[in-house]
Amino acid sequence: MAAHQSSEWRSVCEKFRLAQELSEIESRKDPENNPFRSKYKARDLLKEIHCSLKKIEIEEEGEADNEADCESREMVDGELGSECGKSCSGDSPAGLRAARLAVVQYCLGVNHIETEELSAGEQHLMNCLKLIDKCTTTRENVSLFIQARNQLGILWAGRDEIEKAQGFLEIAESMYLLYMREDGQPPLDLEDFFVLEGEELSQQEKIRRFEMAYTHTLYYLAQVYKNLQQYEKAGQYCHSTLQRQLEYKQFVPLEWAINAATLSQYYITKTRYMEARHCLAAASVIATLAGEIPSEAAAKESDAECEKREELLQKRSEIARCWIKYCLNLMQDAKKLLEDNIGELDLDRQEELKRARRSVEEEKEKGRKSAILFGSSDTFDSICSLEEKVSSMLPLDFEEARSIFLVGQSYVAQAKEYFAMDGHVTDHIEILQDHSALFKVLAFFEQDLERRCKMHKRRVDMLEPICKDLNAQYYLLICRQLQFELAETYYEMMDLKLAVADRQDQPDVHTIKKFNNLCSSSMKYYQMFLDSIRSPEGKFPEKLEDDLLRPALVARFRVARLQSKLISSNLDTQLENLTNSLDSYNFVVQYCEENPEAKKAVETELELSIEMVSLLPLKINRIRSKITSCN
Amino acid sequence: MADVSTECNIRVLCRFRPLNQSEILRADKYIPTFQGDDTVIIGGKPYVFDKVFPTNCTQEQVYNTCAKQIVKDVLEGYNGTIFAYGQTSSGKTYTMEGKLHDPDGRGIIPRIAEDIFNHIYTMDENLEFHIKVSYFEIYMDKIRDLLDVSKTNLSVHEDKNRVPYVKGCTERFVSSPEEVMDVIDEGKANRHVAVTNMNEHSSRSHSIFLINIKQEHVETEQKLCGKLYLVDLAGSEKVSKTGAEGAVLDEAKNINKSLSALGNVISALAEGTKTHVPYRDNEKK
Repeated sequence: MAAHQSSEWRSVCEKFRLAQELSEIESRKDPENNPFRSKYKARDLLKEIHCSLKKIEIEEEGEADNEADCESREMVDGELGSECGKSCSGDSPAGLRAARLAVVQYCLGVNHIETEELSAGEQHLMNCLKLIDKCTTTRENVSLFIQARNQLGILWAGRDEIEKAQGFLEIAESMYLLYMREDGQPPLDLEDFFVLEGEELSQQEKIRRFEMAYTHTLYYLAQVYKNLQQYEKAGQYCHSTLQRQLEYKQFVPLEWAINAATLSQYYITKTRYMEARHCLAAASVIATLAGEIPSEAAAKESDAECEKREELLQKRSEIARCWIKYCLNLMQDAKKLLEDNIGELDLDRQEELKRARRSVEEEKEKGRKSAILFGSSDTFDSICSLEEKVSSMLPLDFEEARSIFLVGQSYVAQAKEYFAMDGHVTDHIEILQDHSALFKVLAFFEQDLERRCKMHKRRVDMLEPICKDLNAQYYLLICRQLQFELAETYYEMMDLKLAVADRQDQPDVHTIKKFNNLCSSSMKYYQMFLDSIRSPEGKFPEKLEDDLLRPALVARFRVARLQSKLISSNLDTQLENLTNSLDSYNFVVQYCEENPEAKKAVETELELSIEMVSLLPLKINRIRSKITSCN
Repeated sequence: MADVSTECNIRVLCRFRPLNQSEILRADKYIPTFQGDDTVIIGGKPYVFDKVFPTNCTQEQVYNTCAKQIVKDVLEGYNGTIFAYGQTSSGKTYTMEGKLHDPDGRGIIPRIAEDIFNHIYTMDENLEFHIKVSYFEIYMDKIRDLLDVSKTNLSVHEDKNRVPYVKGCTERFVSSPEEVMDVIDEGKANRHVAVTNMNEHSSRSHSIFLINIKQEHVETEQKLCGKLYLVDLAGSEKVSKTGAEGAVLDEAKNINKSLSALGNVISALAEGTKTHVPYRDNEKK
């Protein structure tokens, strides 16, 4: 067109470029008391452009044969151009004119939205839609079709009309899929409408921008689905967004890695371990693209290197923590399936599950896998090899559990690299608690009781020093958690020692001493926990708060049991132990009587306590009479 | 607020300013009405707080209710925090700072500064006080020292013996209310230094002024330490509208434009007791 070369056209293009610059770059420098200064300027320019375009349109329409423009092409159902009521095709001169005006409407729409004038913004965006919806969708207007609907999606979501937002975005999504299937040519970008001939964006750049627009569509849909509480869809769309970011190289390595690692955690909540593992492997691999971690020496030399080292170490440790949760949950979910009603490994169930595993459908698995694959050719192999290091199937025996445990343990070391105790107390302890939990769940799979006991000992060795060292005033909640866990662990060890001793005929002095020590240690920590609940004056609360109710009563109950289990040859000591035990059992019974709502929280313990409260006095009396008869 | 009688006490107080010049010229209506000393009614709906302050309340009254007790607590070794939350032009600065040199118009901070020292002069002679102040700002995951602009990446440090603290932050010893106010002026002047996008900065950075009071009894050597945090949560209304890169997903319902907030969406899906959600940028512990 002659118009495209005229100086008038040149000035229109220049105005457009300037309007973009004002909106995107200059606006950041606007002062606090006039924050939209640049955007208002941009708006004026866009309005001028609109006027110029209208003028040109009138001129051009005079030149061209209107009827020829409005001839509709042969339509076939299911094709892009098949929608009824289209007055022209997108690539005709009329279509181009409409698209060009639509671009200005789009920019005005976004401009108004950014200056908090939502109604005006909506109006302009709807104008944009009307203009291009008159035409068939072609490479000229498909990008605008999608981008305008993206903006409308955001706008309506902001007005709390999520379904309306969903509508716009889903149409955009369908159009992308249809276009790619039927046409697939690199579409025009908004900028292409206001450049001089020969200065259009390259094919590559057109494609890149178009794909970016669609990636945003998926990203906005992820948010919409999340707001509609369709979490599975939300997760799927987040995953797709991540995939596309990788595919079109639109990502910042560390940020992408953290997002993938976080998504793996979502999959864990859905027990989809195959997906979780893939996300984690990808996270680990992509994180390395951020560069080598500067050495300590290099970090000392320069601030920038120091910051980089900190950041890389931190992100790597965060990813490691996600891996730990993967291993832990995988093992714990297996335990839930394998345990019987007293928490031991049920050998029959184990057999059953092993048999079931052999017949899992491979094809379905492959299909699921290919849907979620990340990566370009260069990272694909690294991701696969990392995945091969750990299973994504529930472990069914000790060997399988152990191999997952070892992977988890290696990530514990990596996590502690950044989250050292000094500086990151809370995080460090969380990691230790996870490590302890890894041991605990591995112990479940271990059949040998002595070896099991050793695993619990590792937990004690890990947590005891921390518990002693930590300031109880500032870290009250954590201290309580550690005390309770240590008490339970010693209790578990005590039970194991008891089981081992029962197999012997006469436990020797050495075993008895060990056993009593375990009892005392367990009691000590339960007592510490109970003491932490007391008021500053040492008074135990009359009524326990909800989150302390069960732990406190269970602690009392366990102390009672431990006191009755202590072994002594001395009758006076036995008497003392049993009397204390009775007191503790009594406490539980009385508390539940005075606070009936507490009964639900400690049903089993209460039942046993009531029993013991009636049995123990008999035992105590027997010992008392023995004592008197001895004297 | 640390209240001595109960373990932990949080109070929410709400203050209303009168219409300003431009509002009056526009013939805006004053819509809140008050019921008792704890309820405000807007558009027919009542909102209850621990205390509400209608427009006729004086700076002194506001101070006495909000902050006076906190000062006492901090001097007894407890910690206290005062958050100021409100839109720009809602009167936050007037309440927190007020007319600095006007005895009636002074706001909370100058009164706190003066009160601290007044109390100290009346306390046991054998008590030795060390008062340090720090002033820093949190912006986009980074902590910036407002008393030393070269320190732009301080971090929160956890130590097994003490609560989390900002490691490396400047601490200035002060020995008079005037010195406290001088530090505040200095910090304020530094807030927008080296900032590329002022709009975004003022709406998403939060300043924290920390007064650290240590006391030691000369004879018994008993030590006490109290901290008072004054937090200015700036421009709460602008967060979702600046359209800047990486804006925080403010309300759960709004769609966040920037792909850099994808992480927030994923984090929300991943929350749970069985998971580890990595610490994100754009948040601070």
